[in-house]
Amino acid sequence: MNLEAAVLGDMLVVHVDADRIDAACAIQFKDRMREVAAGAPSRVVMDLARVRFVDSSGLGAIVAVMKFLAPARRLELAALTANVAKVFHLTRMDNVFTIHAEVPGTGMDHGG
Amino acid sequence: MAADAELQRKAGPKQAGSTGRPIRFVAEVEAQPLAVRMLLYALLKRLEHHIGPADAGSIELVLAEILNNIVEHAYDEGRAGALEVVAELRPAALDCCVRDWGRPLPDHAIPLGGLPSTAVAIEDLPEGGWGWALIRDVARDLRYGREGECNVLQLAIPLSFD
Repeated sequence: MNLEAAVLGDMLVVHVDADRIDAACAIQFKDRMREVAAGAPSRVVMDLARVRFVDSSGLGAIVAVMKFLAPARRLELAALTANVAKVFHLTRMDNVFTIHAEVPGTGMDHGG
Repeated sequence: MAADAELQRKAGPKQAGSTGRPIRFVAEVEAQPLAVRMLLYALLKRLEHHIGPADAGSIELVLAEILNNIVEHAYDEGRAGALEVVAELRPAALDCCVRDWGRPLPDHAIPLGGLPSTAVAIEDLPEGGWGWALIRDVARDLRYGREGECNVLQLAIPLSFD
């Protein structure tokens, strides 16, 4: 799984370059996030614009990332596609995460 | 399959059943995460000209949760058996029948599927346990039974054609 990370001001933006975070890749996703977030600033924003599917295993992996970043660093999410937003809504996890319509400060440009 | 989809498209409305010939999908795979992913790809490919993206999302989510449950709970790790999905497109729903030959559901019943609490400290947040809540939220007419050594789960996934 390809994750592209870039420091943008006070935050680390991680673009998830995969069309799904599911049971088949949840462990790999957590491991890669651990690598790219090592030494990250206090705010980590996960750009999910390219992810069109998350199942409960993928959601659990995103929660696990939030837990290992805490308490020093805070995980926020950005650019959820419709079906991914639905999973966060149905599980009420949209109350747990700060969710941005797009990556803060970058307009609609996800091109890096 | 591609030629079939082309014919369906030329025949007129996307609505299921309008051509008289049911849209069916049948697949049996080994109960492994990557095989589940490939099965879902194949199913959505089969349905792509007949449903909208929101419906595709519902179908993928419900079946992913059901099939992942089978991979994780019906069979032991490293000793997977088979799972089978039969799906048929109806005018307002996708009827599904999922079979596996693993251990039965606890108490031979579909779990109630309550949502885990989110009103907890970050370190206590759940990392799973949403599967049956998601299935029950989206699917209808869930029925479970054993046929000999086989688990049979039947359900309908309502479609909006959005």
